[in-house]
Amino acid sequence: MNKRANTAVLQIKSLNKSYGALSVTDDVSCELYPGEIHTLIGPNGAGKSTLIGQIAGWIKPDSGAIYLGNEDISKMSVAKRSRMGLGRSFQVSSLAMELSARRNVMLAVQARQGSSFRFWKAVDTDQSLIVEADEILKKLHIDDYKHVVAAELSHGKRRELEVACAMALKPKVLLLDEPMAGLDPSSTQGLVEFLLKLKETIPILLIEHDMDAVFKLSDRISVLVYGKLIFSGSPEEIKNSSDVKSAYLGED
Amino acid sequence: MISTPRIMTREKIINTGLLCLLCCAAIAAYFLDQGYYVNLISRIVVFAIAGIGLNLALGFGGMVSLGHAAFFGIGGYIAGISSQHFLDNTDVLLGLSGTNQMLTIWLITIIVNAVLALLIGLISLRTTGIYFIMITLAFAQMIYYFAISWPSYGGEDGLLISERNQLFTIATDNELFFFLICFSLLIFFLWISSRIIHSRFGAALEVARMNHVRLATVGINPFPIKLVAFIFSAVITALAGALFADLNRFVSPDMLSWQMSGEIIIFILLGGLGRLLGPVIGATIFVLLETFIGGYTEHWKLFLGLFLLATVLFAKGGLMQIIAGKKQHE
Repeated sequence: MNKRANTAVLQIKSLNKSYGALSVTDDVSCELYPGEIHTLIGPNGAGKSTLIGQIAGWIKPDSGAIYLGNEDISKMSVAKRSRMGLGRSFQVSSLAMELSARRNVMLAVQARQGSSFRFWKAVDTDQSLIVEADEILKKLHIDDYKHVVAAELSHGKRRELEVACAMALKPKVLLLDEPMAGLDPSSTQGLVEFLLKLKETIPILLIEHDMDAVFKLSDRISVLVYGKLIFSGSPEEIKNSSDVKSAYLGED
Repeated sequence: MISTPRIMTREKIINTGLLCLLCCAAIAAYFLDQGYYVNLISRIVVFAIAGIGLNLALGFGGMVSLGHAAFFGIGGYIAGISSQHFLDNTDVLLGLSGTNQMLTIWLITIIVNAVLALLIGLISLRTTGIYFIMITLAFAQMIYYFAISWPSYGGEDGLLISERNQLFTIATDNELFFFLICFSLLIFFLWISSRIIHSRFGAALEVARMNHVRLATVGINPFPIKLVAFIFSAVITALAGALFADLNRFVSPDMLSWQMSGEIIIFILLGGLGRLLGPVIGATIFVLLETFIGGYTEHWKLFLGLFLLATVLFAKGGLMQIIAGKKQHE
């Protein structure tokens, strides 16, 4: 374990956040190692999304630090963190709804190339953006929808498109907030397989409610209850833990 | 919805047609000896340029600025003040003499307004929604009251420009020549803004409007994108202001008033928010109503109001949507 600690890609160190008297993140520390999927589970209101919000930079923690590789990213803006290699998807899809799937991915490619202050050349015909965007869409099997505007995509396709946008950033780490929510069984299966392959190159911090998917995907599971990490272990250990059962699994 | 190139071409054809119509009307009016109508069309063109400027911020960037009269008016005052000092043969300040050369005036207009827009943008773009509207309005009102209380340049009465400023040796007093200057600038700014909107910068700007969370998530900070667009927007509107002062040979605090800001917004809403030629159509309708209904009754703005109401209620995309169909994205 110690040897691995040096190589953590994402490290959260005693993060705290409270809204008034309500502690939504209570001294949370966890790590994400190369090649793994680390899943956060917990009942509604446990503070999972708040935690993701703090990692991504939308919410400012009261104390604690977040490291991406060796770099402390806790003071960086959302955009800066994304450029550093933090890719994410949202619980409720957040896309440019009026733009086609391809244009959404092209924007992410453009952002990674770091070239948004170019005022002259047309985007529509920019092969360096189109080729790469199409490759990613194909990888996620949504290239049939590349000309469809995001607003007209099904809920499930939008989630996959969000993952595609995150992939375009060539991230070091992926934060996925309930990517399976609203997916039909076959899409869920497809995404599970995709993520299992993906984790080899990009480790994933996952929040998910679909327990079947969680047990299939996760190398490690951490349980968050009332802002506190109460347990962390392999899927087997989670299944057998009585604490977890009483706090979470049993109530479900 | 799959975008069809057919509709894109249709909009382009309509755009070209409208611009040709405007140009031909001015030339025809000139040769029919109707100088008044040539000036009227120049008025449309100048308002349209002001609208094209604001459209970058409002239509494409989603920044509802109720303070663009500040840039429009300052552009006007730069033309007026420079011309006054040139004719009096006095210094503007610090040994800087006035000029009647449009190119110099335009250059000064660009620099002054870019700096001003940078300052206003740095402060106001930290807010959104109603707060952004109010802060931009507040800045414009400050400048408006400043102009009113500054007697050396006419204060409340405004400033007469006894001779139009010059562009090289072109006789700017000739209605048609002046129209052609304005029209060339209109085409130039349409071209510029079309390039900007379709560039990478434009793509980022439109996503800043649609969903700033998405933009930040892909790693583009929305703030500098919006700030640069706001500056471009201000500069174009300010150049329209400089032309407007020369067109009327008069500049007054009215150009800086919040009503003026509102009118520029109206040009855009009537024609079509975020449509390239929206401001041209909007300004045309505005000036036609102002002239022809304004000829019968001073309450012509009642009709403008009804027109605006109908547009907002029944044709949210403005007149451009009715004639050219919905705005298309790839």
